[in-house]
Amino acid sequence: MSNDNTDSVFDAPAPVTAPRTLPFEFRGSGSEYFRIWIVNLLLTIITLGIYSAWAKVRRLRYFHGSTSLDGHAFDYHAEPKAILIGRLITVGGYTLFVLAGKINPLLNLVVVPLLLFGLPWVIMRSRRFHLRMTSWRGLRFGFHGDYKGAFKAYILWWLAATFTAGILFPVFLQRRLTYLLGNSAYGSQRAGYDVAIKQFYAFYGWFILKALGVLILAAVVCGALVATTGSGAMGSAPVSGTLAAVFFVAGLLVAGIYQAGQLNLAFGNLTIGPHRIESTLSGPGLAALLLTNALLIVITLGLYSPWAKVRLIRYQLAHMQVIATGDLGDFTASATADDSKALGDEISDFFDVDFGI
Amino acid sequence: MSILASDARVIDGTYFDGRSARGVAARLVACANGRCDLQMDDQQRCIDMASVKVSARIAHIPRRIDFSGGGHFETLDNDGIDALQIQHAQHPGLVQWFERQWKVALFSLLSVVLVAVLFFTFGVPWLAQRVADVMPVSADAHLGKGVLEVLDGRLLKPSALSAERQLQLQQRFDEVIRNQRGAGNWQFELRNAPIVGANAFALPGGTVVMTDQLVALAQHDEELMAVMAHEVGHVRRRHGLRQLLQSLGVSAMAMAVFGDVTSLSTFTGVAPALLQAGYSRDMEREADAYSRVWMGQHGIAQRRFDDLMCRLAASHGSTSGSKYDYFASHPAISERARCAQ
Ligand SMILES: [Zn+2]
Repeated sequence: MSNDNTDSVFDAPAPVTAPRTLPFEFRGSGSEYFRIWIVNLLLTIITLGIYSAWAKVRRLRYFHGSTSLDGHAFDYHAEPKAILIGRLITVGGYTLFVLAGKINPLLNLVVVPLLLFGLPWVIMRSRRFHLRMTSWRGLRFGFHGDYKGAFKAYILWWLAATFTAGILFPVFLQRRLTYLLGNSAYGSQRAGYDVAIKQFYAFYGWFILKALGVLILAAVVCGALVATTGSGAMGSAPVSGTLAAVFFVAGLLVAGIYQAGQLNLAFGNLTIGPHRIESTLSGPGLAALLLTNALLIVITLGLYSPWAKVRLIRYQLAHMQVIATGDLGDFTASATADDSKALGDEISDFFDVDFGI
Repeated sequence: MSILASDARVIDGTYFDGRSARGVAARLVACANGRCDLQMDDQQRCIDMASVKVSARIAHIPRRIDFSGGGHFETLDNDGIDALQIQHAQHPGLVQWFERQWKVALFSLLSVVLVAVLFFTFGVPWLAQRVADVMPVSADAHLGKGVLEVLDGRLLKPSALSAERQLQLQQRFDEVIRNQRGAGNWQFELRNAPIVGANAFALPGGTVVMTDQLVALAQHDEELMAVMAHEVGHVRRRHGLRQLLQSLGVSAMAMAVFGDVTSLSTFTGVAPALLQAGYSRDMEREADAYSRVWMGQHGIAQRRFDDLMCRLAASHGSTSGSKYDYFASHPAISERARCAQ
């Protein structure tokens, strides 16, 4: 996991300091975020959606600013006006497209090429905007991925994985993460993401075994339940409800195992100069959190969602840490021009684009 | 850091030059006449407060002052910065004050709930109506196109009624649509539908479909004409298009409110479905009213409608809904027709 192609600053005399383990500290709280969330919501409604751009900036500034590493908080710098413009273009374009598609269904045929060629652009622009707008200790993050790289990773490798009936799926995921993370930067320092394909195959092999195990267990539990209540009870509401609950929990557990594994594989192998990140999320732990969050949100008719969001972020950050070798103050700014066009980021927000992390 | 510095005399923090990640302990002091001194270990800078950008206060997160020549000062002393802003005739902002008050949060919550209820009951249908009004009539026809073909393959079979009876019913339909101005390429279709049972529905654009089973259930042709008028009402009021516009509006709202919690997608999927059921109930009422007015104008007794509705309710209690809501679905029968005990 060592990374040799680092900047000249770090090659010079070997750092004398021993590696230090630095946790991510999260100081946000549900009650604080609830007030921000509800005020954001009201102002967004009163202004017919216009305020949503300012709301997004306040929300992200709150979460970035509540997260600190080595005693320094992160920050978010996007201009609400840029976000508003991006949002207006996205919503307007989408509405026109949907209405036109309903009236002339032939237009829907354009969706496929639009997705194939548009998605990589959206992903590239979104990452670039989001990282450029994020800072720590006065330096901006950055993203150096280009369109060609996104197209290859997200479209060509995805097609290859599809045509080979999923055999190449782990390769597709490796290309995807390498594009997203390997092209990231902090200041002038490029991040490193160098994970062998066989690690991805190992992850997926284990994941499939675990998922099968969970599903078999769920089937056994259901079988036992039906056996004890008698097969005649299958149709009764309490029994079928319990069966559905068992499979819902099993599904969440599988999702938790997948997400945790994927996050560990992604961030756990990320290096920035001589420093690296450790990620030790547990699948069942994440699943338990997702389950309780979902239940509480439904019970409170959505009112719990700010607390749910804070809990999720706190949990994820508590299982990540930086192993720093040397001084974290050694980073320098990059000369990249400021990129303040938010359209790509807003499109990805609107369609909830999944980057694969 | 120093919470005591709320008198704005000294604000402790860190200075970053923006070129390296190395921070320097710094303090903002002796602010007067629109200027402050930024003191660091080895140097002191005079800052013109009119030329800096002070970030908005959000909860407890660090505040930053961006200097015009690059570099910034960062501090946890939010109260100190607020006092400094007031001293320099800058307003710290209302939103940050709102966000700290539980009273405001509670008020916001109640307002949001109230506005949401009002918006979904009155706003969405009203907006959908306005948008539908500006859309060309041809939009309806495009919406309905192809739907009958799809249903024909799965749920509907060719009518088993005699050609003579079919012609008779077609003439009844022609009577109903006579003098209907504008909207629609009127078309009447009969289908045998053993699975769906006695029913009728309208496709946007003007196609009215009636099942053999409904024809069999009717004891008088005027009863069927009442149903035809109900379906014509759906077409004339452009319910198909309005329903589509309403569902677009509802899902856009749901996404705006809960969009930042992804695990909520199932929850946001359920709410629009529930609201949608409510909207189509309103549309049924509208179509019923349309039919009753038409009956009144053409000398058909109101009880024809009631009779068929009551027989329908008795014959199959409830039907499963579909995209272009069946005639017999939704509102409670007791509300739509007066049935003999
Ligand atoms: Zn109807």
